[in-house]
Amino acid sequence: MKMESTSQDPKERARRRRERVIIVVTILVFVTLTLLESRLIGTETPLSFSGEVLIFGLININLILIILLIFLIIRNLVKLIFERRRGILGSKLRTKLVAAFVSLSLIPTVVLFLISIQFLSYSIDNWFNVKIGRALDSSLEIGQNYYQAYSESAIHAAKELSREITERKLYERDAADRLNELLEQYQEIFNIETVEIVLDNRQEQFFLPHPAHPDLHPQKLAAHMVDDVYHGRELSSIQATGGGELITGIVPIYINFELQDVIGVAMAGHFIAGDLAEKLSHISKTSEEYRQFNLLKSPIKSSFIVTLFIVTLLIIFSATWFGLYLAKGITVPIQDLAEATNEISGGNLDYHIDVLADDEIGVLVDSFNRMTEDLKKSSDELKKANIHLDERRHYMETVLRNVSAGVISLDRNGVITTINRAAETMLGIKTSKVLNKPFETVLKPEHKSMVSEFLTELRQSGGDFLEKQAQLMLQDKVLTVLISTTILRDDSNNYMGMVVVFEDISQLQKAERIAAWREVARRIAHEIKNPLTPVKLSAERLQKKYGNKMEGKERDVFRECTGAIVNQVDILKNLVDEFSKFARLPLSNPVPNDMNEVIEEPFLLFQDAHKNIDFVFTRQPGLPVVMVDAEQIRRVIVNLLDNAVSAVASEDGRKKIEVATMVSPDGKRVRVEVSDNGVGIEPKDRMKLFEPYFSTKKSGMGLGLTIVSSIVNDHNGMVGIKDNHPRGTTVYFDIPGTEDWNHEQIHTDRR
Amino acid sequence: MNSTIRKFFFLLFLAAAVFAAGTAPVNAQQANITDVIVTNSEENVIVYLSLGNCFTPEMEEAVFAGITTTFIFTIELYRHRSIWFDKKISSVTIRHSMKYDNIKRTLFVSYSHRGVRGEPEQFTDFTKAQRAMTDLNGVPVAELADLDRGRRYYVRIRAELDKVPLPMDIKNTMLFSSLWYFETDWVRQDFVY
Repeated sequence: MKMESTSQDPKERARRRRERVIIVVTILVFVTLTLLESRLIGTETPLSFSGEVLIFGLININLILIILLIFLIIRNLVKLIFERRRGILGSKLRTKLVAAFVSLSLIPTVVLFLISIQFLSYSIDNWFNVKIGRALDSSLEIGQNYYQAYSESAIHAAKELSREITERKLYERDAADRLNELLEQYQEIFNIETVEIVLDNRQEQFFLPHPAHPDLHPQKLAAHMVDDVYHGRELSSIQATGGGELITGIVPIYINFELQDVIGVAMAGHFIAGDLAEKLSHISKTSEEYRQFNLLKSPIKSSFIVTLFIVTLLIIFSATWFGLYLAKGITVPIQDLAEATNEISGGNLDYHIDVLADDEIGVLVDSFNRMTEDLKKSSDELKKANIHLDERRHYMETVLRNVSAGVISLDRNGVITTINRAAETMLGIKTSKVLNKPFETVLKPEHKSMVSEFLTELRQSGGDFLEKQAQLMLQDKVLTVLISTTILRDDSNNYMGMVVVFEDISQLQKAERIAAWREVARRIAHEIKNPLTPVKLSAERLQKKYGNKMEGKERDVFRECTGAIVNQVDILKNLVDEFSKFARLPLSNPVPNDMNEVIEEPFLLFQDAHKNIDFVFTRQPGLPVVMVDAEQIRRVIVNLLDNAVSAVASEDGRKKIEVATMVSPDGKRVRVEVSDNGVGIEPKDRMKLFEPYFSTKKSGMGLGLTIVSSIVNDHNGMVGIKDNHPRGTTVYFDIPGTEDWNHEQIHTDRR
Repeated sequence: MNSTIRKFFFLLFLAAAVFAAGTAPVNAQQANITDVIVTNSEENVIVYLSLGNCFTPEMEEAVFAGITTTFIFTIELYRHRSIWFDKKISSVTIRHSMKYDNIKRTLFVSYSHRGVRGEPEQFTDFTKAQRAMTDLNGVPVAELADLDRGRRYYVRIRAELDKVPLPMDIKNTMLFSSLWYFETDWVRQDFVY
């Protein structure tokens, strides 16, 4: 299975690619438009309205593009900050790279920007140098003075002419010739190029151009000038004409000086040649431009600064974007690698990184992928080996669980590490309560000393194995077990713990003992019983034959002795009969029976026979049917009740014997309990109770419980003894039930 | 990045774009048209008016620095119609330009009416030159023959400062600065012929 790297989902990648394309296109469009604008603005011809609209549009589009660029880059930066805050893998490295790029570009750019501003300010200020300004002003002043002088000269000439006309009354209609003469004279005297007289009362025009400038034309006066002159003001005007400029002095002509009545206009003009006028115009233009530059100094400076600022911003943003781009190129594979490492450490060995780069990062990713594949192979092999081991372990555990011997293993610290089912059953413990606990903490005090002795013996033996038979007193039974202890050592012979194997030999031992005792009983019966009859017969014969022959005291002694012999022989015979019964217990013939019914008969017999004892029979209804020899089970009950009658207490005046039937806890067996309120039995005696010839009674052969045990064993049952509460002893036996029969079938069968 | 931040940035960008696109001249001033008189000569509807509050000290300085200043007067004559858009009878554009010649110390004011440029007038007095720039005296707007007797008409007038012509080498550098500018509101004068 091949898994894709999930650091960025395809949508996010596509979006980022689109963003990059937008940024590049924005920059390109911006540069193109800027070039186009400068080309359009730089043309010498005045722009049309549509051209201006175009420029306006281009500038605004450029502004929008710049803002778009700024927006995209700031957005990327903000995203980076957010990613860093969220602790997304690779964001820290990316931040560092971007910061490095921004710093590397920011510092020189800002320094260059500041220096450029300084340089620019200095340059612009230098344009408006005081010396240059003064030189320009001086030139202008010379030009102005030149024009002023000519204007004044023209006005003066015109005034003189006007005065002469007024004094000599040349305005009259018949003075035209004299006026023309005067004009010629004055043209010569004042060295003026044009002389012109306009009189209200004349239709004809008196205009005399200088013969050297025949192309000069009469002056056209503007309305406001005419108005001014007729208000008595003296004016001058400058007009371009005849390839140069004509500076004309314009003064009023009065009818007489007292009345100040204006009757016409006298004009005298100085002509300035074209080349001179052009030079003066050049001075004027230069001065104008200088003033205009001076006036626009601040806007020009601002304009340059804004341009520089935008260029600086562009550089910074481009560097930032480039930093982001480059950082992404480095951090994305690293991020992929980190994620892949996480995945692999999390157990996903199928993770595969797509190689996106063909540089060293690509080689690294390739190596990583190969390493992952190798790791996966090893892991698979390991898994197989583990499965195999697990199967073996499972098999061993199954074997151990089903072994009839109890097995307990301890580690080097004495902590219980294994307990099998047989040990659980045998010792009556629960694994969950003792597992992983030191054995000392779970042992009873009476067992502790035994284990301690056992360990001491093992240590003293110097070997790693010890086998010993022991009797374990548990809650309600005494077990005879064969304990085998084996010390566990590793290859370096270091102690690793021990294994203790318990083998329950109680039943075996019991069977052996009973067999031995039967053999003894059979021999005793055989050897003793045979001579007893002749002894008894002989004693009776002696009594018959010689008893009546003796007299007095002798006869009494004789009768007493023979009677004693007969009595003792009878006692001995009873004893031998008991032994004989024990030795010759018939083979049981089990048939389906109801245990309550079987017990009923002997119970009633005892109840009748012992009126001074309270007999209680608690029957559990619905007991499973048992396959038993009813006669033998009755004998068991008789023996148990007999023992109970002997043991029952009489100190407090209340003698009580309880018989109870019940279903055993596992539901498969029928249990019968016979309890008395006697003095009870010492724990040490409990083991011996079922052995022949052991009795706590003053009279008795000690074979009752041996016979009970023998019969119950023949029925595949189990006999036990426990304390009765509050006092006394309870002897119980369990007989397996059968599911093949029910109670109705039993009764039908009997009928 | 969550959607709120995205929206915020989008709005910021939009605002900046709108601001950039709608950049207006910085030095706009409130010029106004006064003394509007609409009357008639024998043949024409003629208009008299005066433009006030149009010369600022900066403009005066610019004028004396040799920058040509031009006022554009737009006069439109409409016939009033009650149930439809008013009908434009005529539209007249008059340009008054002022240029100072610093070597001659003379102000030249030229007039252009319906695209025809007249001979410039010379002024040595700035106040007179200003008056020549701001006053329109008896400008014919339409012929009386185009008007119907008893109908309602109105004249709409607006004045604005023409774009300041700058020297070419300055123009290249003035991408981000704007000089003074003004534009009056439309002034309406109703009359019945």
